[in-house]
Amino acid sequence: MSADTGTQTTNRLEDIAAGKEVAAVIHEKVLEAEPALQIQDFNLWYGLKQALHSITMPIPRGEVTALVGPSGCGKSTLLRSVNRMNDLIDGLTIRGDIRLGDDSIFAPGVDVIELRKRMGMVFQKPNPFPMSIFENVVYPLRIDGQRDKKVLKEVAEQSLRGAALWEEVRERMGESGLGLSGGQQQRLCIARAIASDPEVLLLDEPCSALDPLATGKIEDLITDLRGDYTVLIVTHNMQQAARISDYTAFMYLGRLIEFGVTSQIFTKPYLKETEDYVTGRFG
Amino acid sequence: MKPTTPSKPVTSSKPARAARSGQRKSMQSGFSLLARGEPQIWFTGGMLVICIAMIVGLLGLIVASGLPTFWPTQLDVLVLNDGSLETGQPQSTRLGKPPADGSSEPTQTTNAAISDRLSYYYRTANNDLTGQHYRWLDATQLAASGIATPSDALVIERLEWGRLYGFPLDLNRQLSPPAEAEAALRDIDQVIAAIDTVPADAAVEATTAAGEALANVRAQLSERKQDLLDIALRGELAKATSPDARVRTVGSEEWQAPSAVPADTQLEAARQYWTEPALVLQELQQAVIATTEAREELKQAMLAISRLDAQISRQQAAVRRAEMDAEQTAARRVEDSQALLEQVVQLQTTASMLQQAAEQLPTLLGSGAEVATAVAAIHAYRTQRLPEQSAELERQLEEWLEPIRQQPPAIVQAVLESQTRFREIALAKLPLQREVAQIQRALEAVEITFAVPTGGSPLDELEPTDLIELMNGSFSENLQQRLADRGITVTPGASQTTAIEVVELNQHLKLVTFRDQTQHKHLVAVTRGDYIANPDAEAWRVLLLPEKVHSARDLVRIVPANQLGLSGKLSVYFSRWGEFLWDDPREAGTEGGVFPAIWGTVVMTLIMTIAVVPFGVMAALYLREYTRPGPLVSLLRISINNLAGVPSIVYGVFGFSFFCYTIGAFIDGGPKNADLLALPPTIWYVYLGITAICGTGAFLLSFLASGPSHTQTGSKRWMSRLALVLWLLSLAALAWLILKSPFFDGFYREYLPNPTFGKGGLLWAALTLSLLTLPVVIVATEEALAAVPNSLREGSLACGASKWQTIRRIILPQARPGILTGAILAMARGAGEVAPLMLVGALPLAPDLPLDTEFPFFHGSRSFMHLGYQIFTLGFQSQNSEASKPMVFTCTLLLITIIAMLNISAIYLRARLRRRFRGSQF
Repeated sequence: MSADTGTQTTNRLEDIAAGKEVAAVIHEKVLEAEPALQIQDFNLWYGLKQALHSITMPIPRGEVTALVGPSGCGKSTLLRSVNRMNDLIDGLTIRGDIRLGDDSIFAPGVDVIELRKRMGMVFQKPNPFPMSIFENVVYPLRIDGQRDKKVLKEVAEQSLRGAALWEEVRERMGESGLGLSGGQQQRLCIARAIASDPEVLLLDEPCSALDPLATGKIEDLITDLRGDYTVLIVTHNMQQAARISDYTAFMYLGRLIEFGVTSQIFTKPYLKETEDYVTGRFG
Repeated sequence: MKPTTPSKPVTSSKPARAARSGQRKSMQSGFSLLARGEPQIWFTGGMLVICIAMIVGLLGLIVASGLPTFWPTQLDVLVLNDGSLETGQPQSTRLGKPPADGSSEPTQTTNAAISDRLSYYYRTANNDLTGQHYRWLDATQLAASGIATPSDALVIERLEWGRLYGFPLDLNRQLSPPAEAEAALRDIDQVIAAIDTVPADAAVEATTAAGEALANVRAQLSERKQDLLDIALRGELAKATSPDARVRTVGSEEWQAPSAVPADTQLEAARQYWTEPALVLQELQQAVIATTEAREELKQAMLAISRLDAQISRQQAAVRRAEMDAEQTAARRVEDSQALLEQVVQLQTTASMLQQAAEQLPTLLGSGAEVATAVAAIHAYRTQRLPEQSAELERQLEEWLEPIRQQPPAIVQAVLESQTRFREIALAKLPLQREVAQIQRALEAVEITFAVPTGGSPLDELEPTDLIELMNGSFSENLQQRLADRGITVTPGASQTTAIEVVELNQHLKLVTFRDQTQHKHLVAVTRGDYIANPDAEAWRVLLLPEKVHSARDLVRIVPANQLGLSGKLSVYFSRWGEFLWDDPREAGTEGGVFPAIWGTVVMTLIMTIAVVPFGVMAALYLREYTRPGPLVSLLRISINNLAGVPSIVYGVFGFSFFCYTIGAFIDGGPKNADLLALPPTIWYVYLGITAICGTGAFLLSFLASGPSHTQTGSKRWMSRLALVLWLLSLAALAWLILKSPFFDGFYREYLPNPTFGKGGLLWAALTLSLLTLPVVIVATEEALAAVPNSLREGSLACGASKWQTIRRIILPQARPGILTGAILAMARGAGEVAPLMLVGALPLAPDLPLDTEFPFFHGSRSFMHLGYQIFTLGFQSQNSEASKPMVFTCTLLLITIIAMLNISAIYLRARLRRRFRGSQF
């Protein structure tokens, strides 16, 4: 897979735009890590338009993996395929497989609801529910039918501590979640996402709607979460990817171009196209 | 707006910038109206103002016409040019056309000419005497300044015939004795009644002596009663003549015979009566208030009786039902048996009365030999004849029961039970009936005579000397003759008893009261019609005013219209409003209250809302959350929107034919009654089996075909479509099978052919209106659902919530204010709808509320009243639409107020829901 490193003469991106098949470059270190998620030759079509082209990438367990790439390259689609949020979209066709641990998430018998409980997801825009802060956090437990007040309180505190929000809201758990600031709301969403104790945390540009201060807090939080959760984050911000992720994947027009350890991707990537992109010369 | 000049001039861009700044300058200096949008602001604002003006105008008209309806206005007595009288409350004035003869010059615009052209609109009432409620009177018809507002004139509101305008003449009151005397009197009455039940032949049969003894005892009792009465009455009068209770002496007080009270007392009272109108009024009003209370008691007693009657008819229905089960129709039997049973009960009561009488006689009349004989006779009758009669009746009953005894035990049981109940109910009814009779007697005890100053029959061929004599307090021969022609005899010599009083109201009108030989008071009016127009003509007239006697039970309210101050007017006004809001309608709704209509409107609207909201919300949820957009969904949505535009009468026709005649008739009497041919049982079972297979297949198919869309293969898609078709088929088949069931004979078949649910009723009306308002709710709910941000749905789904959990916990709470908006719109539409109600259950008069103390307490099958329909019937269906016009406006005002109140409470609810999670937002 890494056979043709550095020997590429023509521009891959132009090839891709021209419709040629180009193999992805995946660093050995990635392959050595223990994967939590395995994306295997995954293709996805919106109607007749193909949005993802045979993507194969292992997501290392307990690490932060960043997906970068220009707009429309399929990062979010890939992320939403992982917890099958794309099921909601009509006229969607997929081929290939994504495996969580040993199970295929597309196997016929898979319960999508159970699957989603194993993966927390945080969206671009903070979307707290119109309920109290407490109810927001314990929502995943509520829908499981958990009624024990003690358990709920415990989980709420743990999750809010995990999301570094506990100290700020402990005195007003009964107030509306919509009354929090943008950054707090996003951390509330993260608390909600980790309340059901998921294996994988999917973050879809979690900081794009936030100011730098709030972004800093979220980034600190993601760094703290590393180890406990496998984090898959989509971001447009190269600095952010460099700061918080262990691995970075560069995607372009629905294809994975290069996937490697973050430090390497940002300092000496195998491909010139990646270097151009991460340094801002392209895209 | 200073044009910005670049700090570092760049040669290449300089001309362009200069040009731009120049352009900006020209825009500043020029003044373009269009560019600023000013005309548009004025235009749109003007439209808004027009809209507001129209709404305010509409509301203003209704309020201005509806609010003054109950305001007491003055009561005028008018002298017309021909010398006749008219009485009325002024309503409005209009400028009529100029005189049609054309003799008057067209340029004449003097005040006199205009005042001649005025027409006055008067509410003249006295409908039973004149046949009209309102009258236009031209200024030329009226004698100049011939309008008087006598302070004695009363506005009398009656239970029937609308208002009466008149002067009070006499008050005849049957005094009620003090309480202790009353008890003794009641005892005597009871004993007399018991003796009266002993038929003459029975007494004679025993011995002649016994019969005589009975008659004598009865006479003695009557005497005793008269004595007691006299004592009681004297006590009463003694009290009445004491100064602190002078009011009570007002009016001529009589006990049964007019001669019972000395004439001088009567006269004294009469004098006082006429000279102190305030006392008269007080007395009259007290009488009316007392009867109002008695009327309320009467209503309660009647209600209790009708409740017992309802129980009886339910017993009848139970027997009929039992007989129907045995396939024997003998409904008449039930009625026969009821008549027999009532006789049995009557006998039982008589027996107990006789026993009581036998016990009380010695205490009432002492233990003389005659009394002993009478007691023995009573005893003999009670122990011999009565049991014989009773046995005969029981034997007839047994005969009647005989064929029933052959029936299965259940039916015999039902019949016997109902027989026992009949006896109990009939026994319970007796005291109530006595009470009703008593109250009715009490209600009729007070009689009031009014003189009505309308029209009046002129006493012709009178000479001016007759008039002079009359004014001087005596009657000329001529006048006596004229009065005698009308059946009034006056004794000229006894001026004391004739007691002429003259009240001069103005130079056109004098009122003269006098008493005839029998102490009855009469009123004549002396009028001078065209006094000003023809000062030379002796155009005076003497009119004997018509009289009207009412017992106090006919009267609702007596208002001294010309004596009221502001507080008096206010109290009359609010008392009329209270009556309007809380009482039952009278006189086809033109009088009395509209409480049943208010109740019907509110309850129907609430039931409709409760019925429509769940359906509408479910439908909208499916359309917005579950379906995939496609041509079918678009078609569905267009159809729903079109439904909102279907004329409401179409819904009425549908509700009538579907709810009343199909579903209602089916509930009443099964498929046979609803003209649906029931299937033969075997075929029905076969169809049931097929439906069951169909349903199971649908369930299995939909289970197999479930799964996310993108994993669906072609065959799965077809499977899901097939499953849907099968679901629909099996549901339709199930409904069809229920309607065609051969095993269902209806829940109310014993009442047939009288329909219970198979006619218009509150429930069907509410359901019809909920169909009508369904599109409103669906559209509003869909909009509310669409307004829920998608990010919330995604957030919830990403948490692992199922679709339904997401809907229930996130989407519905978020959409609730919008859904409530839909409910408010539906309520506003439904409450104001009238056309379909005419077909499905609203009646112009249905004072029985569908809510009472009978199980199941709420009777959705009953007809009801509706304010909107009330407005329609009052305005366009009543015999005298002119008379009901004020009520139309008042009802409109009330309807608007009720709808506004319903909406305001719903809006308040919505605001509270909205606040719930927005409170802490910064």
